[in-house]
Amino acid sequence: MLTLTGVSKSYAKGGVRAVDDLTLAVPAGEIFGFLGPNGAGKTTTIKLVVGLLKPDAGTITVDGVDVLKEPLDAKRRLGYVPDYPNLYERLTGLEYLNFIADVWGIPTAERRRRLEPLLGMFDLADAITDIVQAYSHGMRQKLAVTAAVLTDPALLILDEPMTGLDPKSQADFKELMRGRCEAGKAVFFSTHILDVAERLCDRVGIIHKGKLVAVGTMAELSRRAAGHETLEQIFLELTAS
Amino acid sequence: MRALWAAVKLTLNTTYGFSAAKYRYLVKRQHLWELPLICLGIGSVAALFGAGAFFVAQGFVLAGLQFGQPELALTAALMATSLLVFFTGIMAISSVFFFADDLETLVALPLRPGAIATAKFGAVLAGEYIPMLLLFLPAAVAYSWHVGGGASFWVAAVLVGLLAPVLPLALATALAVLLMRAINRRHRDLYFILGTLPLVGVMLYVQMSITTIPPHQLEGFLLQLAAGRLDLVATLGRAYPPAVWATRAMAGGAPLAGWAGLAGVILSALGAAALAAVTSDRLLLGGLIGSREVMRRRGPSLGNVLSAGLGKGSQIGALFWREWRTFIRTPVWALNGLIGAVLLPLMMVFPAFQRGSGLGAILAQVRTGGPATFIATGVAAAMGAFVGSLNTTAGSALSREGRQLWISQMLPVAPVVQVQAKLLHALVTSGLCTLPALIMFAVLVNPPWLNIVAAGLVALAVAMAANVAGLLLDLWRPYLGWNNPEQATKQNLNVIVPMPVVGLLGFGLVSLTMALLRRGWGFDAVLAMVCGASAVPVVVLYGVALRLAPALYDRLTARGR
Repeated sequence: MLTLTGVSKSYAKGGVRAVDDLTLAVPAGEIFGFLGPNGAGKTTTIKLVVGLLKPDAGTITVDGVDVLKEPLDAKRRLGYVPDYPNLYERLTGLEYLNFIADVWGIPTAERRRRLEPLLGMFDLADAITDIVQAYSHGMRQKLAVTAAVLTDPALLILDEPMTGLDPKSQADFKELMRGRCEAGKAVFFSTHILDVAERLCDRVGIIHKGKLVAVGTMAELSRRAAGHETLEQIFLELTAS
Repeated sequence: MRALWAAVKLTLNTTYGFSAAKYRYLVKRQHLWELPLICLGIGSVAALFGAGAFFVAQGFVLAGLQFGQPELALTAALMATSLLVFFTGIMAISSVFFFADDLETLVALPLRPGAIATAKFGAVLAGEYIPMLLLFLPAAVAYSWHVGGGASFWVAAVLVGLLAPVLPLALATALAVLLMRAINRRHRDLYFILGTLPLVGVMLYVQMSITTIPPHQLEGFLLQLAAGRLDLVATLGRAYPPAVWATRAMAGGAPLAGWAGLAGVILSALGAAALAAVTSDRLLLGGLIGSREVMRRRGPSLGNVLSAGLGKGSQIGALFWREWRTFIRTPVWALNGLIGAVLLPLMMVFPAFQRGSGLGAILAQVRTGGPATFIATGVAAAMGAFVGSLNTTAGSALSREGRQLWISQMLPVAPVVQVQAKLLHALVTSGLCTLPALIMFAVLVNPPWLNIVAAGLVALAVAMAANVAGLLLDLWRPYLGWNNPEQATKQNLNVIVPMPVVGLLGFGLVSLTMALLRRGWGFDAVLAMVCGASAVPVVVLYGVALRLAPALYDRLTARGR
């Protein structure tokens, strides 16, 4: 569903190598957790995948479509929620969702069918006609997730999706991610919450200083990291400077 | 005190982007070519306004000299500046208090609310010295040039120049804080409109007042002036005494009048600043934080809401409505863009409704048809084009997306379509802006309908050519890092590009008209030719915009914007 092959990205005219020769594949039906310390290159990798940045080298495909060569086709297959969801403050939640549905060309009956359970699950029904400016951080996050899922993307990409969500919303959200994978879609998300990654992800990748230092299931990582049992122990060992 | 100074420095920095500019131009040494262009742009606009203000002030000084009251120019300039500072101050203070993104950061610091208000006040005050420089300085120069005054005059002028904006801005701050406390943050659009309406009212009132001295009173008024029995400075200053005190501080007059005037200026500025500080200290925190609660309520069922709110539209339609809604629902953008379209034509035609007005006689002449109607058509087209290009929709189209640009970049929509939607928005807005001018043309001049159509087409074509030029520049160098919406338009040099383009195209079309008339073309034929010619630049620029759109959007991705 997602492949990155030899992807690199530098800032400051090559002075800072944010992503260094990254190769990774996420198959359909998988929840992939992307971990790393602050500044490791997680957000840069995600921005490269969704087309907000251009790689210096390498190729990225989403559902078999090259992100650089056919960006519009690739974007059509993607749903993205950034770490801080800056949404249109002056639109109502419903206007924003309708805007997204119009752009993706979703028929009216279908958008209604998809929205009803999502708005109910995220407890947004009472606020959906308010302008986004009046929303709390958590509500914005939930609206951004709703918009991303509304398009029924093959690959859902989330940057720190749990930030700002209350425990119930986190639980609902995990359920949502699992449901998407069971439907043959894939989820790729970055997080600092190792507990979530450990319990939710089929596989985990750890990035450090732009390089992928480990990737695999929990059992594979545990074997690799000298028998450490928790993801936290593995993470700390692999990212120790 | 140290904390207050740190807050002032921080606010000045975030408001005017000193650190960002220093990093960009001095540390990274990027886009250095912009510096001379920015200096040239600001310099030419300042020179234009400054020269205009100087000639007007000189007129006041020379007229005042005839009646022994040349200081009239200083009083008038101070009153105009104070009025401008007060009303723009309400908007600017509202913007930095109510709409800024850095408030949560500042409120969380161990600072008194009054210190935060003082820091914000300082940042706005720094900006208000620009109208002081453009209006008051030329008046002081004109007075000094014709009357003299020496070093003491200039010392007093500098003090007055520094202190004069404090009083109106402090009053604006106190008013803004009171309104903020009274109006829930959820309804801050209403707040902004309430703050802006007086500006519109006062501008219309001033315009009417200036043009409404009944003819039978004018003679007596002039006789009194000539006899020196009427103190025009005091008469003008009755509405705003600090302007008279400041005038006395600079121009002296009776013994000790200068010192008394200076004391009046200083004390009134200090008093108003204290009032603003106390009001802010007591009410600002409540206004900022206390009214942020989001109300939960039960409304119609979700099914009903979705039935009413969901409907399928096209991609370009969705993009257009996004542009329209975000623009029209951000009062600082909408009012800034649309208010001139209504005000300028209204202010021009007010005299026509007044008794004894010269404009009434001119209109009667214009209605007879022939060359006068033809010229009036040109004036209507020029006015329409000018107000149609003022609305900032295109020149800030990408900048206004600010931190939400990621959404546009994520959409599976070609850059060409995104540009088309932005231009469609600019077309609709400019069309609406030209309407008041055209309606007034139709009502006052009563021309043939063909002239109205021609004026409308030329106005819209010229305005849109200017808009496309503004959009191209905004796509090239958008200003995305703004903290409050006002910055996206008012601190964005891209929005001023359409105005000189209108001037340039206007000059070209007038030249064409003159050339055709000299060759003996009839008025209708000239109108048709000018309509056709005015379409050429917009078609060419539109083609350029569509051709460059993919590269310009691609550039944003490459640069990581």
